[in-house]
Amino acid sequence: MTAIEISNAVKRYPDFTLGPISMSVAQGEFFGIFGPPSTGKTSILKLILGLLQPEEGTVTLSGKDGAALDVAERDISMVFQNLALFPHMTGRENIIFPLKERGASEKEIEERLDFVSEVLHVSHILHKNPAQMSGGERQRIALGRAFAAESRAMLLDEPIAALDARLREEMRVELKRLQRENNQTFVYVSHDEEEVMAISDRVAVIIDGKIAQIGTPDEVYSTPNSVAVAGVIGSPPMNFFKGTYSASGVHFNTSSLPTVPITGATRKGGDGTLGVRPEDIWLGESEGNPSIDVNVSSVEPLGSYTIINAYLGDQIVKIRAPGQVTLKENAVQRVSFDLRHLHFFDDVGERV
Amino acid sequence: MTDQTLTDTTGNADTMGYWQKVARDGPRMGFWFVLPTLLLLLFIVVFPLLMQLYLSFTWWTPLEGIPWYQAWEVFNWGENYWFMITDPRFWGALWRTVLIMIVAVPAQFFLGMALAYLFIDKFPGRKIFYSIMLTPMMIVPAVVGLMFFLLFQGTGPVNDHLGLPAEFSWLTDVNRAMISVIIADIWQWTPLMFLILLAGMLGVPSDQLLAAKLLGGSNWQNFVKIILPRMKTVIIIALVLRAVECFKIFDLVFIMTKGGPGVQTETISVFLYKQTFGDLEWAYVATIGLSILIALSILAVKGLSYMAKK
Repeated sequence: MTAIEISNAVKRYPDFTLGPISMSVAQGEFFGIFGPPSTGKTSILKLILGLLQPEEGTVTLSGKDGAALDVAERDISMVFQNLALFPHMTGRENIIFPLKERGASEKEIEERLDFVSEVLHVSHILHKNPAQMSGGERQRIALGRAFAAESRAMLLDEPIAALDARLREEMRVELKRLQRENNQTFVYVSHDEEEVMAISDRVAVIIDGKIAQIGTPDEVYSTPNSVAVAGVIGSPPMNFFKGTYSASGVHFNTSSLPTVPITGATRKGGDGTLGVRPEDIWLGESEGNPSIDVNVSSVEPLGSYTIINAYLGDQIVKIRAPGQVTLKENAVQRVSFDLRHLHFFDDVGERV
Repeated sequence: MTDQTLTDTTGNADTMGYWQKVARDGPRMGFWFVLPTLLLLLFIVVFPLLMQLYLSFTWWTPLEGIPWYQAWEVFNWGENYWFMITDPRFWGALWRTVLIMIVAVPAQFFLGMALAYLFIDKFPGRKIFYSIMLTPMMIVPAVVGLMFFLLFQGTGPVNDHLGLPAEFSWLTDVNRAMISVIIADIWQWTPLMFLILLAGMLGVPSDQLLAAKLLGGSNWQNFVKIILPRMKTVIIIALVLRAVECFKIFDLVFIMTKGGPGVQTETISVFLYKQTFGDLEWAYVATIGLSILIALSILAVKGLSYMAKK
């Protein structure tokens, strides 16, 4: 069952065009929307909420045409980035707000409140005002309020961006648990790639107002379908080398790398781009893989892994090596490329 | 060395540092610094009050032929206060002032609130309408008085538009004179209410309004449950401000009706003016002014402490 379906929706602004957007979110799915800042993520949320009407295309909610549904009738709840809790109400009043608004009976309200506060572990802070709560507690109350509404889907607009790193990780786990246990439909928006990848069943990557790719986090990571997607997914970002495909299509030639043999899909001749993830560049020679010397420029030890910035000609190459690595700056280091995980793109940046 | 530090704290001037001296002499020195201002304040605030109190216990008027400080010669043991309490004209003026307040201020409040609500959302021409809306409160009250004086003439535009005969008078009619004044006051001061309330309304984060909307509240419910509670302080400020201002109403009334017909639109300010410059009853004026000051002070203190408790 499809909870939210957007097909060919277009919205034009004076200096920006959103769409055409086509995506569908299944009932009970944890759907991530990821994109760099100001690429249209919020506009997509507004389309779903009904705050924006598409100029072309349609938004369908559980089979009903969105154009006929008013904002309040869409039955979609939302957790805002700044939470938007009502400061003059206690935690309890905040959570039961949607129930009261729709005129639920006292008994229903109590039952739902008990259930929500149990699931979110907020029973002990229900009497407090938002101002008296910690960041994490406020977060839970905001989730509880959206959750109490028992809506068709919950939209989360960077809901945990304001929390500190540790709490963010905790809330991530919590959100996923909440979503799974209750078979809720979540649409999660963030510009933090790691967050979206960690939490979503499927991810839509938005670039310049268009959906660049939709897929599971693994798919998006291991087979990005364009240079743009490859560039925004993964940290540190992928290394790109411009070059040309040989006439037979079995080699890729660049000015800085040795000739790279191509297995699988290829192009015969023409310009293109080769992408290599930082973790697919290994320190030292390895059998069957091409290798080359680089000049180490700086080393970032990060505990479980180390990032090495090195010069290949005048291009910076990022290398992610497991564990701790001791390398001197300005040293010459031999590195090899994992041939199994190379990404080839054509002259306009599409995956070959 | 320990002895040295001990003497420092006991205030031995020889061993004290500069700032320690300042700290010791500060309060005394500060007194001399603020003394001139203090005297000036005493002169402009306390002196007139005492003078007023003094005169209010005498029969003194400028026609008495004696300077005011010799007014003890006509001391009357508070008869002015008794006269005030039994003066129907005073009570009438007070009642009319309160009447203007209890009609005009709520009207301004509700109109201002409704207009502010219309101005939350953006619409084409919002800025222009906004400027036009605010114009009345920027006009000098005397000019507004003159405008409405002209508008409400028997042969003026109001009657003309309503198709009423020239004999249908506003400003000289016993009942309609008051209505005219109140209309003028509402016209002039609704914009201020609108401005303050709009500022309060825009202060409610739009995210919270959107959240309430998504959670299923109707516009009216959201207004009552989200907007109003968050505007409480602003509403109190707006009401107090207008109520106090309204109590002082003078220019409009004086220009439109001179308090007439008879005393039908005579407010406290107009009454005091007439007593002062018409009847030259300065001692009586002092009595009334002082009484109102005391009454309003008590009300204000009570009201403020009530608000502080809330």
